[in-house]
Amino acid sequence: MEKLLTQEALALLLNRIPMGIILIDGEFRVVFWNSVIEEWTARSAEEVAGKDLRQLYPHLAQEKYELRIRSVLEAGPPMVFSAQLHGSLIPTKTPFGKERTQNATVLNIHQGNGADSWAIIAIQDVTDLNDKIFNLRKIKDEAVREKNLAQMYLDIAGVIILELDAGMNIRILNRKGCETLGVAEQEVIGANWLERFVPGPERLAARKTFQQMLRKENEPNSYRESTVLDCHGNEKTIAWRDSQVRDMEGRITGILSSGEDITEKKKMMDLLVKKSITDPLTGLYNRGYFFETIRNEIRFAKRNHQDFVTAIVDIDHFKTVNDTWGHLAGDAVLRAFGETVRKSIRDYDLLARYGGEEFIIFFKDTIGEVALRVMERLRENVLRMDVPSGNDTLHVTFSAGLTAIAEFADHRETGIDEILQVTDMRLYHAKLTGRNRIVSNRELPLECLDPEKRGF
Amino acid sequence: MELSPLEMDALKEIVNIGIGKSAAMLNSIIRHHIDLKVPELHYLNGEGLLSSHSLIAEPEEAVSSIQLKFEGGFNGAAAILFPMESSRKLVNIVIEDLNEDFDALKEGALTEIGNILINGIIGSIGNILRKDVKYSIPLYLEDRLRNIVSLMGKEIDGETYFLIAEIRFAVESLSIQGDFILFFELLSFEKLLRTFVENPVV
Repeated sequence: MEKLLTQEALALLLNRIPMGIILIDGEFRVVFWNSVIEEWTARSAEEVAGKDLRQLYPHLAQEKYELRIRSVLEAGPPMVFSAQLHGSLIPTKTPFGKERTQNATVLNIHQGNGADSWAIIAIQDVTDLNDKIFNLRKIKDEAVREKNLAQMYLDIAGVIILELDAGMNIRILNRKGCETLGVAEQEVIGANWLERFVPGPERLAARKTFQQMLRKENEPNSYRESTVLDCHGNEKTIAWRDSQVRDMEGRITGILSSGEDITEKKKMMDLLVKKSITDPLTGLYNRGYFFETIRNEIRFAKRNHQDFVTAIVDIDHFKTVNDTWGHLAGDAVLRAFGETVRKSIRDYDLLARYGGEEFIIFFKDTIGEVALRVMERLRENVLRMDVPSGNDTLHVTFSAGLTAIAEFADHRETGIDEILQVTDMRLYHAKLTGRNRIVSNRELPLECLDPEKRGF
Repeated sequence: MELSPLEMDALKEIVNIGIGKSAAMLNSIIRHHIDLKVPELHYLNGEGLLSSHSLIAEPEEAVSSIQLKFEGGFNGAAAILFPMESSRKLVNIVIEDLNEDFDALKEGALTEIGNILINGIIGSIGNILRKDVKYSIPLYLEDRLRNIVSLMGKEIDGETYFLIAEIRFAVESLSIQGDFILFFELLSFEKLLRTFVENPVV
């Protein structure tokens, strides 16, 4: 191939190459000077032809250039002169006056036929390249800085920041999160959240919730509470807010959540709630809670066509107990009585202190006869009940009214007020007829009650 | 193929002469004084090369390398290997103005340093053999050591023998380590050894 190229064709070729090309002979004399190097140096090929490169550029007479170029001319391996160590082999400026930086490679060209070796000096301009790399690096540095900043935000955040990938593996758990769970960041990154921190019985539900959050149409941002296990196996309640993490193409790749450890808060709340619905003396529900709950219970019973029965219970002669034995004795009676009632009914029946010495019972899914039997048993239990007070033992009885929903013809329309009024009238009747008795519809049917007094 | 102590001595001498030239050249370019030493020479086949811990890095470790291939009067390839940490130190020393981008500087500077080191040694060999040799352009690569050796153009097996010269740079208080790996095709190598032993360099 080489033989087919004329000298003119070769020159044309070398002039077209977008690099500075110089050919020198064994005495450093310029043999060829391509158009690129003409342009860079503003020296024409005619001007430099046959001249010693070391005279044109005196710095090239220094050992570090001359020796190395000479070794190439003496058939040695190619020599590289990097922009980084030399700036440029042939110093030139850009049209904007900026010093060019260049990588130069010097190679031996063996002429054959006993002629001298030549060397070709190929110069690549890297000014722009270096600038570009420099700028790229600046962008990269900025990205790193931003990442560090983001990391700092994560670290100082007062909330837990958790990012999970689609497989629920941990991508990010910030410092607060690690502290809350008692773990080190490096040991949990990549670990499976479900297996590591979610209690066994809750895993199925947690996975389901997570998968729902991953669905495109569900942008989760609402409040969610979950139980997690810290490194000691203690349960913690975390309140979460979630958002989807998307990649550049908008695909959902995970869920980012911020969480707050509300374990203590929740304990306090539970305590407060408990306090607000409990009668402090007997530990039973208070009247407020009873009325708050009873409407739902009745609605539920009606919807499910269930019977229910209410009873109002009043301790007989309680005022005498107080007056004779003192308030402390009275309190002891109330506590013991409440406890006896609680033990005599089922756990899921609703029992509350209605006020003073009055208690109310709501028997769920129960017919009148059954409730009456339970109440009779309660009456016997109370008769056997000993309440110690000082050196004495007190005994009390109670009277009660009982009403079943089935008694009302229009029972789907019947409200709690009407039921309680009927029950109250039966309790009153029990008091009038000697106390220590339970009055139900058997003794005082609905139709015998004074409609005036019923008021409905 | 085993080497006799005489042959090993001859090789050591030629490598030391080459390294001496390289050191002189590096010192003319770089402001700091660099001391170059070749404390050890190993001669290993390909299997030994990757298993004997005689190289500066483990086979799967990333290294910086500069390679040069040659053919003609003798055929083979040479490479300089630097652990990434050493290459970083080296560039830090040779380039005084480090305001510029490090990565961009690294490749050019390391290519030239590797080029000078390789040429010192290979140039000496070429001079001694007085053969016409064609050289490739120096190539800079960062890769796992195993891949770098493969790229030298040889199967890494029991049949190919490599000459390894440990290179120690002492610059100010820093110590920088590298390896020079050279392999010749068997015939070339025998030719080389015969020439060395018959015509002592000094």
